[in-house]
Amino acid sequence: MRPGRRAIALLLVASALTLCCDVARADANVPLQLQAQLVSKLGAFDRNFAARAGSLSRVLVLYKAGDADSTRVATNVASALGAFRDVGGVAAQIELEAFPGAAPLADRCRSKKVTIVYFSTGLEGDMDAIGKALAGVDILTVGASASFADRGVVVAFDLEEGRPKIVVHLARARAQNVAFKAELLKLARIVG
Amino acid sequence: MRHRRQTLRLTFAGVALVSLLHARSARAADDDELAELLSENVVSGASRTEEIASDAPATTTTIRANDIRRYGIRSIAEAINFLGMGLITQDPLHSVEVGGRGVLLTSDFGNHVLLVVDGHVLNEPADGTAYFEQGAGIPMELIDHIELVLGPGSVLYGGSAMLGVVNVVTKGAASYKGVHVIGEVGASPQQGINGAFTSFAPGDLGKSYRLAAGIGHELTLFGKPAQLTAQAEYFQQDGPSFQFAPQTVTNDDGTPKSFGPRTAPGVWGGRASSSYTTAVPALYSRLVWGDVTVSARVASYTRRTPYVNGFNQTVGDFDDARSLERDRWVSLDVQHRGRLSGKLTTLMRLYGDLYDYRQPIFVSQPSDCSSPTDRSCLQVGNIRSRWLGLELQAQYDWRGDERVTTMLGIDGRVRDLGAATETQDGETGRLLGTVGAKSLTELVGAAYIQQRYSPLANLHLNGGLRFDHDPRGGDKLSPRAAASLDTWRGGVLKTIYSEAFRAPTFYEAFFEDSTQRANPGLHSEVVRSVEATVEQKAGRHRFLMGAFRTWWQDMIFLQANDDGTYSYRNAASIDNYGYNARAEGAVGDLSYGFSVTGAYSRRRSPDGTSELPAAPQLFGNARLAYDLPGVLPTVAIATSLVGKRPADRAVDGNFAVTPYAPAEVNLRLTLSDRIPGLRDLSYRLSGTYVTASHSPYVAGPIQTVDPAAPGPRPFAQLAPINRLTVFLTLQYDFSL
Repeated sequence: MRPGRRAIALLLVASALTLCCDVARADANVPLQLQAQLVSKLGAFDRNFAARAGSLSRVLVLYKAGDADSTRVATNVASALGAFRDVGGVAAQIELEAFPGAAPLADRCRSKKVTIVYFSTGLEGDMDAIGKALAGVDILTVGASASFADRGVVVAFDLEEGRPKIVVHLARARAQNVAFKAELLKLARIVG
Repeated sequence: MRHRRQTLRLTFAGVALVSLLHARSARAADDDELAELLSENVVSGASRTEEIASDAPATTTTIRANDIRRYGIRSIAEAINFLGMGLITQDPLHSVEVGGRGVLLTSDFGNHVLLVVDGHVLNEPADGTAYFEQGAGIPMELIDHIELVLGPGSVLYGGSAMLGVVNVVTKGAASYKGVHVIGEVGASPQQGINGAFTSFAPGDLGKSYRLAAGIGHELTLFGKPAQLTAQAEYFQQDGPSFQFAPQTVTNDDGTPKSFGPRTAPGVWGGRASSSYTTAVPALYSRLVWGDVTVSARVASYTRRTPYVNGFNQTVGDFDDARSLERDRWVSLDVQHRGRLSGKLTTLMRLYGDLYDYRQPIFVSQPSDCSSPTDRSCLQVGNIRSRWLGLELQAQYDWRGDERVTTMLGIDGRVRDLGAATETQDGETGRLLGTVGAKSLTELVGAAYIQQRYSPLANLHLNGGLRFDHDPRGGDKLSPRAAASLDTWRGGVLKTIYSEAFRAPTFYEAFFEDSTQRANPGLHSEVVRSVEATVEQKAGRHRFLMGAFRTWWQDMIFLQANDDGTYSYRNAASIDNYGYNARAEGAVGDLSYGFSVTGAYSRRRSPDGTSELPAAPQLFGNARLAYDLPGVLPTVAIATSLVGKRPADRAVDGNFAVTPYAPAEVNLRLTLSDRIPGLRDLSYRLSGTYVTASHSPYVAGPIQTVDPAAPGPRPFAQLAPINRLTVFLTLQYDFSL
C-alpha cells in the first residue's frame, strides 16, 4: 500500500473508532474541583442547613453503577470534597456510592440524616423517580450539569458566558425544605 | 457591687458585639468566597480543554455576552478594543487590522491572529484572512463569550496563531431560548478635512442598519436531546462621507494622471460620498445532537474603501462605487465527542470551507491597467480557496482525577487554491487580458501532543509539541511549556514559553500581477515568546500583571525588486517586550474593568532598525457599568485608548514630516434595558465619540516621495476616522 493510502486508511480506522463509542450524555462542563468548592459553600446559604446537619454534615456522592465516566466524576468530586475542612460550615463526612435506586435512596436520606446528595453524570434519566421519592425529604440535592436543572434536583451547575452558574429549582427547594438566602439567589439562575 | 454589675453588663455587651461582628464577618466571608468561585473564568481556548483560566497555559481574557450587550459592542473588533487586554484593532475604513502587544502589521487582514468559532478556524488559507468587524459574519447576539488567548498558540492550532487566538464560543439553546427579532439603526455626521463635522443634515448622514432573526430551541431528535441555535442577519452601512485634500499627481511622462470623472485631471481628492460602504448578509447555526455538533456559516462581505492606499488598493478612480471588495464563505464543521471509558475521550472533527474573494477596481488611467489598453479598465483580482480536513484527537486521563492527562491529535487537510487578475475594458467589459492565473492543490498534515500534569493541588504544568507539514514554508515544530502556581490565597503565578509559526500564504508565495512577482521560496515566519504573570483574586475582583518578551523571525514583507516590481520576502525580524495589566470586578450593581498594554517593538532588517509602522505601543481601555434600580436602564461607559504611533509609510514614505497618527480616545456611552410594560422588548441606545481625526494610514496616491525629486517634499495625508456614531438596537424576544 502506498504511504498516502496507508495514511488515509489509518485516518478512516481511527475515525471509526471514535464514532463507535457513542455515549449520549450531558458532560459536567464546570470543572469538578470548582463544583466541589461550590458544593462546600452551598450549605452556608441554606437557612435550614445547620438544623438539618447538626454537628456533622453527611454528603452522599452518587454515581451510576457500570458507568465509567459517572464513576470518574463522582470520585473526583468526593475526593475534592474530602479535602475540605467542612461543608457549609459543618464538619463533613463524604460517602461515595453507586446509586441504589430512588426508594432506597429516600429511605437512606431519612434514616441516616443525609444533608447533601450530589448526583454524578449519567443519572439524569433517573431524576424523575428520584425527585418523586425525595419530595418532602429534608435534603439538598445537587446535579453535576445543567441538564439536571429541571429534572428534580434543587441545584445544578452550568457554564454560562464562560463562568460557573448555580441553577436553583425553587419549587424543588421548597419541596425539600431548602431555603436559600437572597445573597445566593441573586447570583443564581432560577428555574421552576 | 454596682460597679461590678456595670462591668458585667459591659462584658456581656462586648461579647455580644464581638459575636455579632464575627457572625457578620463570617457571612461576608461566605458571600465573598461564593462570589469568587462564581467569578472564575472557565476557558477552553488555551489547551482545548475546559479549565479555570488561571490554570490555563496562556494569559487569557474572557469577554462575556452580558458585557457585549451592555457596552454596545457590535463586532469582535469592538469587543477586543473596549473589553479585551493585549490585543488591539485599527480601522482604516476598510477591514480592521488586528495586532497586539506592540506588533500590528499593515495589510495583514488577520493573518497573525487565529480566529476560531466553536472550534472551527476561520482564517482561510489563500491569504490567511480573518475578519474581526461585522464582516466576520458572526451575529453578536449568538456569542456566549470570547476568549482572547494571548501569545503564540501554534502548539494546538497550527499556523497563524502568532499573536494569539481569538476563541469565540456561541450560546447553547438554553441561553438563547425562543425566537429573537432584532433591528438596529445607526447614523454618523458628514466629516470634512481634519475630522471636522460639516453636516448633521439627514440627507448628509452616514447610515447603517441591521436586521436579524435568531432562534434557540431545545428539542428531541430521534430520541436524543438536541439543541438548535441559529441567526440570520443583514448589515448595511453607507457612509459617512469624508473630505480628502487634493493631491496633484502626474504620470511618468509628466501628463496629468486621471482619477476618473469625480476629479479634475491630475488631481485626486474631494468629497468621497459613495465609496465607504459595507454589506454583510450572514447566517450562523449550530445543532448539538447527542455527542454530535454541526456548525455552519454562510456569509458574504462587500465593502468599499474611500481612498487609494498602500494596503489594499494602490490604483483606482476617486470615489467610484464600481471599485469594491467582496468575500464569500460557506463553512461547515461536524464534531463528534466520544467517551471510550472514564479515562479516554475522543474527538473527531470533519471540517470544510469554500471561500472566494473578488476585487474589481475601476481605473481611468490606462497606464495603471495590468493589460495594455488606451482606455479605462476594470481590474478584477480573484482569489479562491477550498479546503476539507479531518482532525482526530484522543485524551487520556491516566489516574482518572484529571491531574495527569495526555492529549494526542492528528489533523490532515486538502486545500485547493487559485488566483488570477483579469483586466476588462472599462466601457465594454470585454476581457483584455489575464495575468497571474495560478491554481494549486496541497496536502497539509499535523500531529500534536499535550501533557497536563498537576503534581500538587496548587501546581499545574502543561507541555506540548506540534509538528506541522506544510508544502509552503516547510515543516515546523511548535513547542509550549507553562506552569501555574497557586501561591497565597487568591494568588496565581504563571510562566509560559511558546512558539508559533505562519506559513507564507498562497498570495504571498504565488500571486502575480503587473506589479507583483511570485516568490515560491518563502519560508515560514516564526515567533518565540516568554512571559510571566501574577494574578490576584479577591471576591468578585481580579487583578493581573504580566511581562513578556518576544522574538519574531523571517517576517514576510513586500519588498521592491530591481526591475520596479515587488515581491514578498523574508525580510525582517521584530524584537519586542512589554507589559500588560488588568483589573476587573464588581461592587454591588456597579461593575468595572481596566486594562493597559505597553510595549517596545523594533523591526530589524538589512536596511536598519525602525519603529513598527502603525503598531500601537501603548493602548488599553476602561469601563464602568451600573444597573440602575427599577425601570431605569443600565448605564455603561467604555473607553478605548491608543497612543501616538507612526503611520504605515512613516519609514519609507520620505515625506516632509514623518507622519504619525495622534493618540486617540474612543468614548462610548450606552443605555440598555427592557422597555417598561413590554417585557419582551429591549433596547440599546449608544453613542461613540473619537477624539482623534486620523488613523495611521496614508491616504491617496502619494504614498511615497522620491527624495531626489526637485521641489519641496509633500506632507502625508492620513486617512480619516469616523468620529461620531449613534445607534439604537431593538430586540423582541418571543417564547417558543
